[in-house]
Amino acid sequence: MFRRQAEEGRAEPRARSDRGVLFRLALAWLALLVVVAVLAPLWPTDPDRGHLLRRLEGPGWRHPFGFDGNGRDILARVLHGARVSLIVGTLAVAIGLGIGGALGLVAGYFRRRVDTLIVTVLDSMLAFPALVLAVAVTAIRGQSVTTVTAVIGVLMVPLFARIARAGTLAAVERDYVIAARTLGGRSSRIVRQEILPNVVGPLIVFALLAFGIVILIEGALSFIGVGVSVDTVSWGGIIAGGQGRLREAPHVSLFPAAVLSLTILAVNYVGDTLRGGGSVSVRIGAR
Amino acid sequence: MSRRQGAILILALSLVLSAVVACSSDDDAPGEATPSGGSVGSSVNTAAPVTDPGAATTAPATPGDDTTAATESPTTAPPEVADGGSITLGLSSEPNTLDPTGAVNSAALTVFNAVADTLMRREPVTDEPLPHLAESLTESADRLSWTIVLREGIVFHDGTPLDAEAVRFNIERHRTSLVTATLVAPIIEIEVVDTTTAILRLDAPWVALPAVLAAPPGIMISPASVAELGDDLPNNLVGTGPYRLGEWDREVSITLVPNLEFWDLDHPPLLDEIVMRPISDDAGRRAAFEAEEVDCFNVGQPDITTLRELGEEGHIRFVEVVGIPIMNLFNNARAPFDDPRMRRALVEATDSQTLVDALAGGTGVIANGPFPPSSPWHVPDTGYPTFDPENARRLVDEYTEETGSSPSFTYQTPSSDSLLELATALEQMWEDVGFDVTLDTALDQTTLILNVITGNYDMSIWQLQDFADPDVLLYNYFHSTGSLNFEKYASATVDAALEEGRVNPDLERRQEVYAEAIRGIATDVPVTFGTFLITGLACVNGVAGIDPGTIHGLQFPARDMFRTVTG
Amino acid sequence: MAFWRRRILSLVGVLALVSLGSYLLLDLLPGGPEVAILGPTADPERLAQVRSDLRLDDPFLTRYGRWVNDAVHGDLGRSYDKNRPVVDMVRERVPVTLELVLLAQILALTIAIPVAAMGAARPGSLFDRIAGGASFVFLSIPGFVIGIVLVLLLAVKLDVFPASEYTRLGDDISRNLHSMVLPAFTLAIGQAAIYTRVLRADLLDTMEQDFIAAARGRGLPRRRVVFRHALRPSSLTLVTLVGLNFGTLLGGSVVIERLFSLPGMGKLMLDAIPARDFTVVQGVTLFVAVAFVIVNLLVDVLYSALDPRIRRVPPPG
Repeated sequence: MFRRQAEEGRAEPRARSDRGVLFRLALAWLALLVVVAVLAPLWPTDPDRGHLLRRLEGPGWRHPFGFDGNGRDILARVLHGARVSLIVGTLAVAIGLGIGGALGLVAGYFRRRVDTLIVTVLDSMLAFPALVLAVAVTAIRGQSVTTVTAVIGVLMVPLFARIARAGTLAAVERDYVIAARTLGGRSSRIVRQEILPNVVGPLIVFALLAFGIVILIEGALSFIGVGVSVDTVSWGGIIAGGQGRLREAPHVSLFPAAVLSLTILAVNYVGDTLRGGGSVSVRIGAR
Repeated sequence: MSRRQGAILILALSLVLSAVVACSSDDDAPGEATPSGGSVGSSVNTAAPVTDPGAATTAPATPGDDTTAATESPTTAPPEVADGGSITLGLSSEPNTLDPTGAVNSAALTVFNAVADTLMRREPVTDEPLPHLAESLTESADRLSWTIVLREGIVFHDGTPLDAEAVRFNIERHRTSLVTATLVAPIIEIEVVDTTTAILRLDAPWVALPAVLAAPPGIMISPASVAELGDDLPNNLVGTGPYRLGEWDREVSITLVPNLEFWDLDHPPLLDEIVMRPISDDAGRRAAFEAEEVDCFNVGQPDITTLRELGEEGHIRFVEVVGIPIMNLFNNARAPFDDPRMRRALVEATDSQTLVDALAGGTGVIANGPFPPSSPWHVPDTGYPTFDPENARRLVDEYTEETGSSPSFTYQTPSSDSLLELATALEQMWEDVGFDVTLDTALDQTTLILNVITGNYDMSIWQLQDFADPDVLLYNYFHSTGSLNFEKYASATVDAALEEGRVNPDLERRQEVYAEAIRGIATDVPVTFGTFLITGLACVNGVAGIDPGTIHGLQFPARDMFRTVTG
Repeated sequence: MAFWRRRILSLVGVLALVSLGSYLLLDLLPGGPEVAILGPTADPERLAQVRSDLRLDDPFLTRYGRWVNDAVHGDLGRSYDKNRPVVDMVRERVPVTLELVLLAQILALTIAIPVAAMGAARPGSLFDRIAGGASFVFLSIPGFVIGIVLVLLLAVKLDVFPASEYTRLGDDISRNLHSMVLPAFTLAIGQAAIYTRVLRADLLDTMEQDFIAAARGRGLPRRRVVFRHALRPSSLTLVTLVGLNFGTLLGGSVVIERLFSLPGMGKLMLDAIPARDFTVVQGVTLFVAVAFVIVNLLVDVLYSALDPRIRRVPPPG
């Protein structure tokens, strides 16, 4: 993977400076989002306060994103919605990384039956219809940020596990690891000292990409109505609310959709650059 | 009529908006009336959740519960029948079951209308139940039995005869149905006297029986087909109507073909084919209509104003109906709504007119009770609270002072776009007077229904059904022992009035007692009445048979539709 | 052989785990099919009666065992809600979803392969950089956003394609294609972006290898080398991805089906869960899992066909 990306870099010497600007722009966008999410409560316009008679009103000077079907200010809602995306993104990735990473490590390290067992479980998770999981869990536990985070976290587990397992398998094959195991070294020490460093790099890089995936899934779940509860503002929810009104009021869906897409784009770009540019990830990986 | 009603208004509106609507809101019965003598339907069914297409039971129209107004192209002369042709209808859903004893939705009722007949039918103008498959229906002197005499020579589509045994068989199925048994509860025995005569025995006098037999419990299907179809019964229908069920391509279309042996020679099937296409999305149905892929469609609430104008200008035919209201159930057994002041405060906090104006484009009639102004059972001065936010705030403050905390509750509503908008707007109005509101919106209809049935809710959207006779609706919902009294309401005066209305055959006296019951209900506010649901049907010019006075709800009077030469 | 045996065993395990998992999840839902059957007029006694009629009160494992036993014998039961055999319902939906997925994959590959190859033939060229940027952007935009924009542009504003009109393939091919193009394209865009990137990177990798150097040494132009020699050995990751997507999407792309009102598997599922139509949910879940398993096996087979050395490497998954 790294080699491939490094090569891209070589092949495109001119892209370097472009990448620098874009990279900084992407980082700035993400930083802005974090600031916005933290400071959202200070924003003067109440995202929940509707002015029914201004419903679906288009963008204007004081309300650059216009109003939704309840006459609520869409900009204010998008700003507050950033909180849900960031919280769900961070926590779901943490769940996937923690559980998935550990499973992959165990599978790759012990191999044989343990591996077959874990891989079967992981495959089952992949083969399990995500919709059933999302809808059923929502029906059982109710719609909330916690439910959505847990569901998406579970969906992330097999992805992280695959990456951790692949990295572990590669490391386990190395001579010094084989030697250490043959000599009866303690597993915990071998894993910590020899294998972990080999796995953490790819995992962290993937975590960034996964962050984008999670935000996307959260949007899609809210879009089909099984996301966070309606009392919580979320981007997917705002977009879904405008879907039926594309004809008269496309702005309701389009502004939040643009923000959502830009965010995923920024996350992907940063993730890809770190991976390809080889700076952070490679250093961690090769330590 | 009071200017603001409860949240229901909105609900109603949104209902329509939602795809779901279709199912829940039907008001018509299967054979609804046409001048030509369709069957009528009204059923006694029960409640329908407000939104779920699949789950609703249906109810057909009440006598006189609907107001109908149609706009026709000004220039049209009396239509001249074209020979044959095909008509495609864009329905908001497909039938969920074709078993009349199931929880049928409005699409199913449209199919029943064309394919099956009821024992009685409703007279289109007066809504009086008249004999249809029955030649006569007579009450005995002791008022504990009714004798049905059938017309001779009628056969089902499978060639088996419609006889008294078939009547017994069909009504018996309702008596043992888990879904519709409540509708025919007073019937305790069905006796077959000879091939054309059957006697229904009651446990007490029951004035509403003829109207109920004009509803789904009066639908006659072939007993032989029931035996033959077994588990497949819900997917087929063998009736006596002017059309037979042709092909049913799931989720794509249902085709009806003419029954050339239809018994009523005065009203033969006029089309070569009726095709029904389920298109759940309002905008999609309208787009299909504009693209001329369907000839007629159920107009979604957002499009009513536009289509009405098109109708007035003569570009299309448009018929609209003011039907049953949508309501919210309070859980009268639980705080805060065990306190009548809080129920009143909530209604007073609701600015229905603004909701109608903003969310429904001004289309909506605010309800003050269960029956719309056009109904013979309508009461103009029910005493239902009107919009009065100051008083609402005062009541809430009083309550807060007494109990130490502000009234807080969870409001259950399905998560369709339009209902969500409605609920969000309501939440804001209620919070403005001091209520602490949590919205519980679920994709999951079953949970919503289950919560209401088991009393595990504070306040929930619900949809009233249109019943054949006020007895069935009011008794089931508001009598303290009513089978649909999910709101747990109990009032001795209302009980007494409802009991008298059930047995007293005198029309004027019935109107008095029901007015009394409705006033009691409206002032106690065990539920909120929102707006009366307005539904619209649109057809291209050249399709006839949908006329003012003959339409009672979302169902097309499929059996009476035809194409005209002009147009 | 041992590898294949273990692989197949593991896939059977997947089927068992998936069906058990969804059975368990359904069991935890509040209310069962009885609520859906009786609708809003139900009272608790009747609910209980229907529950016992349906044998829903038997112990969990008894019910699951009964379901497995029937399923093994090809009987997925009847829908509680629609009262029809589940097999029929699934059979009606499969063509819709299959067509959507096939069309989308064909479209995606039709876009991705030439774009990736041309990019790899001249890395760093203007074309390559534009293609790279575009694929990056499209890969970041959620499918439902792409769908909304396409609907807005093509269906609402330009009125070129119907926004929600489904015609069965057997009824009218041209109308069917007309109604499927927009959803398939929506689905294809994001996938084409991913495929392009993956394939281009693998192609660049391959181009470094000796046999390519040899081919180039013979004086063949780079573009020709890419298409003739490098494409096949570079397609492993792509095949895996296509397979994985195919398997997953057969379960229905709920978002797309919902956006375009297509009667596919995803919509069946989305309707069945709220209706507590357990047999349908189980049937669809099983179908999805079987599709996943078969596609996985096929990918394995394709792998060895594309590159026999692969068999020695641990399987992907």
